[in-house]
Amino acid sequence: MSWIARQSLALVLALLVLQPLLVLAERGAGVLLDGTMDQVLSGAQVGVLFANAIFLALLTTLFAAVLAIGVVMALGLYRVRGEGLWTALLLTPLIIPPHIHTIAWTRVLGDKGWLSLWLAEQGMPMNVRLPLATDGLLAHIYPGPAWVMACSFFPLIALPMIMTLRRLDQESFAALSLSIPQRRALFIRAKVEARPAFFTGLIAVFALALVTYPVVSLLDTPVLVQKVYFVFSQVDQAAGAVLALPLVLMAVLATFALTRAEQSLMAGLRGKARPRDAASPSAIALLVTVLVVTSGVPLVSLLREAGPLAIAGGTDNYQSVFARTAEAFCDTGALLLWAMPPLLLLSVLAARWMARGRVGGLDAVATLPLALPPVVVGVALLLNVAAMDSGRAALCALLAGAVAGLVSVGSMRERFLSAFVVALAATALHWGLGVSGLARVILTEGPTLPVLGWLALYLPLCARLMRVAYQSVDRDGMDAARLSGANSLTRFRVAEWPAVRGTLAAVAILGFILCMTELSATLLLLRPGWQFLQVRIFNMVHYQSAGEVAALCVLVLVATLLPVMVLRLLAKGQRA
Amino acid sequence: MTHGLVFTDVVCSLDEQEILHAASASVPRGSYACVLGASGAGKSTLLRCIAGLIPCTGRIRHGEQVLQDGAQSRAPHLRKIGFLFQALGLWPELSAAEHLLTVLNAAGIRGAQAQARMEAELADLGLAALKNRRPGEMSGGERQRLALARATVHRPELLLLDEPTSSVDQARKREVRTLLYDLCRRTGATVLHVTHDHEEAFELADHLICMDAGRVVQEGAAADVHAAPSSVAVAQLLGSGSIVSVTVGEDGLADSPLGRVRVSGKSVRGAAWALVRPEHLELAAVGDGVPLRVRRRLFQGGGCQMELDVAGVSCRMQGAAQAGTEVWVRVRGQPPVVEARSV
Repeated sequence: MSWIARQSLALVLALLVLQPLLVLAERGAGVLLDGTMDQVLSGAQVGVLFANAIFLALLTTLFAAVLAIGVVMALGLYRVRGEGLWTALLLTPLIIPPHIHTIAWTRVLGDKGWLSLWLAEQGMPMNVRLPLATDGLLAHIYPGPAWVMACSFFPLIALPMIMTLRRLDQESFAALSLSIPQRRALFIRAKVEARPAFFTGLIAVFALALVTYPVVSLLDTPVLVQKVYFVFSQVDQAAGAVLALPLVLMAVLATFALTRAEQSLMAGLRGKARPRDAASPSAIALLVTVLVVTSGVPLVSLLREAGPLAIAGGTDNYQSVFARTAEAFCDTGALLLWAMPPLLLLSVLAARWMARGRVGGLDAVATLPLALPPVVVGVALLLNVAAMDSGRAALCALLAGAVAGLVSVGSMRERFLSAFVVALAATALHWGLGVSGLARVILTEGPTLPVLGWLALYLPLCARLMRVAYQSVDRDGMDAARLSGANSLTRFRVAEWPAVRGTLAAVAILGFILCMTELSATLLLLRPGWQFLQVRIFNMVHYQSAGEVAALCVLVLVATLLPVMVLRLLAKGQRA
Repeated sequence: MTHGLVFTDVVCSLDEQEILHAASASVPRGSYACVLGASGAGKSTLLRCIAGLIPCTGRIRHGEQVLQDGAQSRAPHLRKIGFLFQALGLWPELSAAEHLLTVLNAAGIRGAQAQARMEAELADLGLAALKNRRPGEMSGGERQRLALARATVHRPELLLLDEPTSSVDQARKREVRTLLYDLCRRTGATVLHVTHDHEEAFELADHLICMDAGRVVQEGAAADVHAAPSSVAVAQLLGSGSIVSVTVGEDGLADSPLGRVRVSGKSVRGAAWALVRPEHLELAAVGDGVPLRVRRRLFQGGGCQMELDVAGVSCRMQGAAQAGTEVWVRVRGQPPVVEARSV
C-alpha cells in the first residue's frame, strides 16, 4: 500500500468517523458538566429502560434463532429443488425495513389486527404492543416487538449457517460416518462447522435489536433507544447521545465479538463439499411455514389493507398515495443517486488499499461505525456540521487527523509524520468547509447530510466485503500483467475485474438496500425541502389512513426490489 | 564462462521475517539452471526478487542489464523477463489469443506483427485450435501451455519457471519437461527453473543451485554437484542416497559399516558423513564385503531394488533378494564425503 493511499484512507476516516465522534464527545462532556444530564436522568429510569432493551434483544435473538434453525435444516443440510429461489426468498425479510414489518404486524396483531380480533373472539386477547405479565420483575418483557424484529433479522443467522453447511467438508463427514451412524455424523459435523456462523448471526441480531428505533417507536415499547430519540429531539442533542452510551458500549462489545467470530468463520479449511440428500417433505414444510409466517403474513396483510387495484376505473389507495408522495419518490431516487457512487467508489478504494497491505489501527477506526447505533452517528454528524465554523470543532479535526495518522502502520517516525500530514489536511479541509459557507449550506439544505450519514454507517461494511474480494485477486495474474508492462487499466481489466465484479454487484445491491431502508439516522439528518420514503411512511402512520400507509409500504417495497432485480439481471448477463 | 544471471547478497524480508539471507549465485548465459530446495527454502521468493515483484536488496544483473543494485530497482516490465507462475496466473476473462496479444501490445508490438507472432506461438505450443477459448474452457495441460506461451511470446532474455510441473499429473510431467527444454533451447533465453524434484532438476539442468533455509548452499554444473554435494542438506536434496557415518583416515580410506572404503569429495579427516548411492553398492560372494539383512524388496517396473539395513540406516542397491535374507555387499567406486561429523 503506497504512502499516499494510506494517508488518503486515514484522512477519509478522520473526517467521516473520528471528527464527528470527537465533536460529540466534546459536546457530551459539556452537558455532563453543565447539569443538563441531571435534568435528563432525573425522571428517566434509565436502568429500567436499559434492562427492557436487554430483555428485548435477548428475546429477539431467541425467536430469530428458532426461525433460522427451521430454514437451515432444509436449505443447509439438504438439497431442495429451486434452491436459488428459496435463498432469494429468504432475503425478503431483510429487504422489508423493520418499520414496514411493524406496520404489517400491527395489521395482524395490533389493536384492530385480524388475528387479534379473532383471538379475542376465542377468549384469548393478544396485542403486539403489550408486555408479558412480569409482576415483581424490575424490567418488562415485550414479545411483540421481539417477534417483529426476529421476523426481520433472522436471515442474518440463517444465511451464514446455510452457506457454511452447504460447504460441509465431504471427507471429514465421511471419516466420522465410518464410526457412527450417518445421521449422527451429519449432526455432529454440522454442529461443529456451523457454530461460528450461528454465533456470528446471534451477535448481529442481538446488536441490531438493541439499537433499532422504528420498531420500538411504532409499538411504544419503553426501551433506551426510544428515550435517546426523545431526549435528542426534545431536550438536547448531545444529551441524547450521552444517554446512548450504554447502547454504544454494548454495541462495541458486540462488534468485537462479531469480528472475532468473522475470523473463525473465514478460518475454515475445506475440501470438496458433501453431496446433500434431497430434503424430506417435513423439512420443506418447515421452510415454507417459516417463510410464510415471516414474510408472507406481513405482505399479505399489507396487500389486504391496501385494498384492490382499481383496474376498471376510479381511484385506489395506490394511486392516491402515489399522487401524494410522488415528490418523495423523486427525492429518494435523487438521494440514492447521490449516495451510491461515492459509497461504491470509496468501498473499492478502501478495500484495495486494505487488501494490499496492513493498515494497522485504521481497520479498527473503519469498524467503529458498525458498532454505533445509527442515532449516535446521526447526532455526531449533525453536531459536527453545525459546529464547522467553531474553533473547538477545528481542534477536533486536528485531533482526529492526528489520531488517524498515529494509528496507521510504520515506525514511530513514519507515524508521527503521517499524523502531522493528516491532521494538517483534515484541519485545512474543515476550515475550508467552514469559511466557504459550505458547511452552512450542508446543514440547512441539500442531500449531503443524509448521504454522509449513510456513508459513515455503511462504508465499513461495504469496504470489508470488497476487501474479501480483493484478497481473492489472483496475485500471479496481477504479477503476470505487471511483468508484461500492461498499464493500470489493463491490469484492472484482466486481473482485478474478474475477481471483484461479482462482489461489487453484491455490494451495490446491499448498499442500495441498506440506504433505501435506513430510517434511524435519516430521520435526524434529512434536511428541509427533501423527502425520503421511509421517513414519509414513518410519519404517515400517525395521521394517514391505514390503507394508504399500507399501499405506500407496498409501493416502496416494489421500488426497492425493482432496481435489485435489474442489478441481478445485469450481473447475470455479464457472467453469461 | 559468460555469466548471464548473477545475483549477489540478495536479502528479502516479508512481514518482518527475513526469507532470503544474502543469497548469491551465477548462471551462465543461455543455460538451463534449476533451483533445487525443500519447501520453504526461499526458491519462489528468489524468483520473485529477480523478477522485481517483491522488494529486496543486493545486486542482480543479467548480462549487461542491471536489474537491482542495492535498493535501486528496475521496474519489472523493463527487465525482459518471462515468468511461468506455479498457479499459472491466467486471466480468466481473456481468450488464449487475447492473453498473448495483451503481452505483445504492452511490449509495443501491435497490428499484423502481433497477430502473426501470436498465431506462431500458439501453433508452436499446439494451441492454434484453442485460440478463442478462455482458460476455464481448457484442460490443465492446455492451460499450462498457454501460461508458457504468455511467458515466452515477447521473447524474454530471462525465463523464470516456478515449479512448472507441480500442477500436472505424473503422466504429463515428462511431456511438460520436454516442452520446456525444447522451448528454452529454441528461444535461447537463460532459464531459472524452481523445483523440489531432484529427478526433474537432473533431467533438465545444465547448472544447479541448491537452496536451504533462504541461502544458496551449493551451485555449479549439475554433474559436479551430483558428484560432490557440499553438505548433508544438499545430499538429502539430491535424493536416492543414504547418509552413512564414516571415519576417514589420513590415507583417504574410511572405516564404515560397509567396511573399509575409499571416499571422494571433501578432504575431511576423522568423523564424517558420506553419501552412499545405490550405484556405490554391489552384491559380493560370501565372505567378500559385509553381510547385510534385506529389509524389503522394491519392485520398480524395469527391475528391483533392495533396501538394506546398514547399522540402522536404510541403504538401497540393485538386486532382487527376498526380505529377511542375508546378502554380502561390497562398495564399488568412491562414495563422496559430504560433511565433517561432530563426535
